[in-house]
Amino acid sequence: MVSFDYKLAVTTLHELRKSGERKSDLVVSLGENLIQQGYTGKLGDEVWAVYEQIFIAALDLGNVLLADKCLDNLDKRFPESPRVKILKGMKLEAEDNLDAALAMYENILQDDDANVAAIKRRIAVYKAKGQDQQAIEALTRYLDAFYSDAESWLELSALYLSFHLYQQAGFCLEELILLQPQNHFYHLKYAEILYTSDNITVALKEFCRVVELCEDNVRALCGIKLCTSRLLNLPINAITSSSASTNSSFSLDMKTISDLNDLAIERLSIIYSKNQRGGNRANEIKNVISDWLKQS
Amino acid sequence: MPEYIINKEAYLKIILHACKYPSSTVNGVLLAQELDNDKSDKIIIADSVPLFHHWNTLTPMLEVGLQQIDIYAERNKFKIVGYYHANERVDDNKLPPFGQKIASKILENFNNNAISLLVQNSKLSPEEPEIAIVPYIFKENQWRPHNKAFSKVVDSTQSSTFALDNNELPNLVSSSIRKKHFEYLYDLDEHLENIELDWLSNIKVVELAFEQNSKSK
Repeated sequence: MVSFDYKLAVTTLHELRKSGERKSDLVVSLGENLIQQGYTGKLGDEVWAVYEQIFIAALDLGNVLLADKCLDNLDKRFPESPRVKILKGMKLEAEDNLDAALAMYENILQDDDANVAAIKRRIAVYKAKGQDQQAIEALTRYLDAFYSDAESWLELSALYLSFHLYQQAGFCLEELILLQPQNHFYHLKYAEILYTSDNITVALKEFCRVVELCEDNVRALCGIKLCTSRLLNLPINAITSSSASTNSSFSLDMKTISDLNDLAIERLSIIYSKNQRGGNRANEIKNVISDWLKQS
Repeated sequence: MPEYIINKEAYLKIILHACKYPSSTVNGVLLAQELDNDKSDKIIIADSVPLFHHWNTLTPMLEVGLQQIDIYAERNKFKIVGYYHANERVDDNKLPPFGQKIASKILENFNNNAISLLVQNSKLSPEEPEIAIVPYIFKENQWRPHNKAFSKVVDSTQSSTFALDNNELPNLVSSSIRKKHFEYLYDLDEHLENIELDWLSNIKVVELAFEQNSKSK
């Protein structure tokens, strides 16, 4: 058996808690080792956060035994704690007992209607029940009060997208861009929403912003190639009229579009030609890309 | 009416894609072997190419993906023959409208025998492996599920037939899931973040899942 590195396990778990990454299988395997080999006593007060973390990961993997063990310890130490009640609610959710979970969250919210975790779990239950309309309403209400919660704006945009409400989804992304203008991911998603709703010139601008914030972003370069090819294939009058109708302060001349097209093709060719790993398979991908870049 | 045979490579990648992102909707494209004799009623779904797990209702990368898959298919004597989809929620067993739309586009632009495959998340249990996909066929202007496609009982109301190329496939794929081979399966979303990842052939998972197995036999 591989010897278990206690210190490394504790730091790894700590880092995962901070980053919020959902690596449930890693958390469970580290957590099982910690608990079985009796290291939990050494953790001091950090143990409660670790129990909570392992509990949620165990639910994710359907490891009921481990989840119960963690929850028992937390429940003994913090009876009546709303934070532990949330965990009990999550266990009910995992058991597909959605109504009981909902009741649990409602109960917490009666005592404290600003319990963010309970509000969010309630929205998750709506989603699990397939009540997406209700989830949208609850999220909108929540965001009225907690305007700066980025992950909730992102969730709301995803819900709008599932109903093909591109304008509303775009609005969520505009809020996110106001909150974190340097985050290229939000510009990227915004660009893709704009392109989907046929607003090609503004989409192009946003794809360019992504490349400005995140050099050689392949997804954005593909987006620029796509937008410019489409604009170049339009009759000339259509471009000026479409950009005038959507955004009068922003228009593009053919020369700029064609330059951007060349630039995207050039950058993508260079990026793909640098990839030496993977032998024949990498070559096949390069060939596909080079054929694709020749299309217009 | 065509007879569809789903090869192990295609099935494996669909299921592993769904397992790699259990909390997301995932989708991709089905490729058929180009047969010399095109009059034959047999359509062999030889491979699948995973597309997305971030979001799938937005079109720009879908266009990029389909264009590149089309080029890849032509280079490798495949043709695009359908669409696959796995929903976010376990109990959601319907092909959603945007999935139907993508499937319809494939039907119009690539192949008039195109089908869709929907993953049945609830059948992915590792204890009792069973066939976890339902084919959707376009008829009478709608995508309709063919729920008994793989059952032994012949359903006379359905004119198309379906089969896996290997009856052991659900077992093989289930053991591949247990060995976490899905960690080596990459879709277009991942490729665009790291272009070293091979989303088109995903040859690595095929080797991992099937070659070891043939050695041990």
